[in-house]
Formats: sequence, C-alpha cells, structure tokens
Amino acid sequence: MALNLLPIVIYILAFFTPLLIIFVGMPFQIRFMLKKGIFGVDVHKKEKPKIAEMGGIILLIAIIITSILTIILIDDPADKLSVGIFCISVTIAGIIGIIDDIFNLSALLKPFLLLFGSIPIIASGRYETKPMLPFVGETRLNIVYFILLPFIISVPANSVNMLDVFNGSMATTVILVLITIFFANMIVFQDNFSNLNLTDIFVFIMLGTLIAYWFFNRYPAKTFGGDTGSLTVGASLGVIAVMGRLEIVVIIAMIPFIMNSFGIISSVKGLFERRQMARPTKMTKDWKIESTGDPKAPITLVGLVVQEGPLHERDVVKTFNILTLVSGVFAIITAILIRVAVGVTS
Amino acid sequence: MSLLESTSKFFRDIGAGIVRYLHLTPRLWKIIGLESFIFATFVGICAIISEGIMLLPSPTEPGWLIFVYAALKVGLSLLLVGIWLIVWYFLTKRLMKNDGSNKIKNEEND
Repeated sequence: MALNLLPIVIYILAFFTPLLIIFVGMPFQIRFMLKKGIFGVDVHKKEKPKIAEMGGIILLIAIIITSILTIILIDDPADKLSVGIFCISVTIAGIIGIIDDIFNLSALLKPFLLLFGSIPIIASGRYETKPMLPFVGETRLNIVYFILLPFIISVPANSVNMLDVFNGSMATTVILVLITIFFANMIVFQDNFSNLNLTDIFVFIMLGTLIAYWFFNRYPAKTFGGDTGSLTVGASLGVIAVMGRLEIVVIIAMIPFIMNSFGIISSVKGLFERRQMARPTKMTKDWKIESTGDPKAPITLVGLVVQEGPLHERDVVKTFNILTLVSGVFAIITAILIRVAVGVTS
Repeated sequence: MSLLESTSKFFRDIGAGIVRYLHLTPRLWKIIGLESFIFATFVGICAIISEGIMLLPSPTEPGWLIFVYAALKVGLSLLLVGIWLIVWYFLTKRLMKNDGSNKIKNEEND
C-alpha cells in the first residue's frame, strides 16, 4: 500500500510554520511594544519588571498565515472550508481580545461579543448535533445542541482567559489539553495518519503556536499574551471540540479551567473584571503566593492550590500542569469509553 | 561548556523538574480528589442515561407523545447534570472554607 505523503507534509507545515513565525516575530513585537510604552508590570516579581503586552497578536498572525497556507495545500473543498471557518472564528475572538486589551471591555460585554465567534460555524453548518457520550455513544440532541452552540467559543475562551494569570500557565496547560485531544482523536476515530484529519491539523497549528509562545512567556516572562492571546487560544479549543466532534473529551480535559471559572462566577455571583473583585491571593515577604483569606474574594484554582501553604509562581504553574495532566488522563479514559460505546452502537 | 557537560546539565534539569512535580503532587490530593469525583460522577450520569433513562419505554404509535417522551428523557438527563453542577459547586466552596480554617489555625500556632 502506497503511503500518502501529503497529510504528513501538511501536518509538518502546520506545526513548524507558526513555530517559525513566532520565533522570528516575537522579539520584534517585544521591542516594539516596550518602545511604544505598551507594557504591563509583573506583580509577582520583587523587581516589578515591565513586560511587553499584547504578545497574542503574533499568535493570531501565525495562526492566520498557517491556516491560509494549509488551505492552499489541501485538495478537498470541504476541508478548505473547515480550515477557513477555524481561522475566521479564532480571528474574531482574537480581534475581540485586541479591543479588550486596548479599551478594557466590561466583564459582560466581552463574553457577549465572543458569541459572534460561533457564527461562522453555525452559518457554515460545519457541526454535527450528535455529541458522543461514554456508554451512550452517539446522541441526537438537535435542539439542546443548537441552544448550546453559540457558547462554544465564548465559554472556553473566557475559561482560558481566567487561568492566564501566571508566567507560562496558559501555554503549558493548553499544550497538555491539545496533546490529550490528539490522542483522544486517534482513539475515537481510529485515526492512522493515512488520510488528512482536520482535528490533527488544528492541533498541530495550535501546538506549534503555543510551544513557541511558551519560550517567550515562561518564567520569567518576556511578553504577556494579554486577552488577545488567551481569547485566541481558548476559541481554538472550542472550534476543535465542535468541528472535531470531541465536545465531551475537551470538556473533561478542561476540568481545571472550568473549575477555576465556575468557582469565580459562582462565588461572586456574576461576571466581574479582575480589578472589580477582592484579590484571592497576595505575595509573602519571600515573594511566594499565598491566600488572602478574604471571604469576599472569589474561589479560584490558585486559591485552592495555595491552601496548604504559600508557593512560588513557578510551582503554582507546575500544580496547574499536574491538575491538567490528571484531567487529560480522565479525558483519554472518556475517549476509550466513547469508542467502546460507538463500536457497540454502530 | 562542553557538549558532555551541557547534555548532563540538560538531563539533570529534567530530573530535578520531575522530582519537583512529584514533590508538589501530594499537596494537591484534595483537588485531584475533587477532579476524580467530578469525572466519576459524570461517567456515572452517562451510565444512568444509557442503562436507565434511554431504556424507558416510548410510545410506539406516531404522534406528539413521542416528542413529549423524548423531551422528558432529555429533561431528566439535564436535571442530573444540574444536580452534578450544584454538588461540584458546594464541594469547591467547602474546600475553600477549609482554607480559611487552616489559615486561622496556622495563625494561632504562630
């Protein structure tokens, strides 16, 4: 049997193109932002360094260029459309992030605007109203699915945004989620790389993007992605979940993100901006993160992690990774249970 | 730095990183427990839907009753998901309460 090389070539390009663009472009972006005075102060460091903001713009550019390159290389018009929809949805979220970084959108307006990110998916019909559940297999949730579909960009984008609070925390945790999705896709759809798989393309684009971004955002960070970065990355997870038909797997893999945002929203009874809420953590004299113990502060994942005692910023990120790794294992188990159920029902 | 030294440093750093991760894991047992509970109850709900709710008898004759029965099954499943979310919220809140009491205890000991 002849090996089809085109999918492999597309996967390699999907991974290395954003990696290269970010490695080349990010140093320029950092210098430009610092020169223009667009920087944030890293409050978790004793020296309070000035860090270039809006690094997410380079992430967004890398995703757009790679998507266009992939569209050119793919033969199938339906697949071309799917990659285009991925690119447009992520771009809408990214543009909302840019607007938020510049004008500070209200906590209610931001998720509302993100609802528009799902319009390309709904309009193109690139979704199936048959999410797959463990034991149950394929379900038919025509009405419920259609009600939930507008939130598919808004919810993951905001969840990732809420966990992007420490150097490298977003990059490493989302990389773990993407690796989980890659293996879950192999398990559920018996993907063997002989044919082009859209989920794999999206995963490789995002892995290349985030691995390169991590080099600049890891402790001590040289750039902050800002809302541009976190909303772009979060939106991509939503698109992958719907277009890859791995909704439940992605939800399980994102348990730490959901725990964090669910805790915040439910404890403060609504959507508020960070600066409107009491701080859940503070810095100790030796620059570790500890809980403030303020009953008015929101329930956050950081708050839960530091309850046993103060932790250094790097260690807090490591604990996030451990929790994402655990949820990743659960997501793989979910994928196996789905595969078994789908195999039985089909 | 020679190639041998830099390679050895690279592997030592990886080793130290793994040790650090292993050192941090025990302090997360409560949150990992909560994650496990969330996952286990979700799988349990799926099992109940598969082996219970889906097997509820539906009318065989065509008509609006089929839609009502289907809506009831979806409603029951969503009710279970709602209960799951509420339990999740209260458990998270309880973990945070423990945080407060631990803090007071620590301060008293100091």
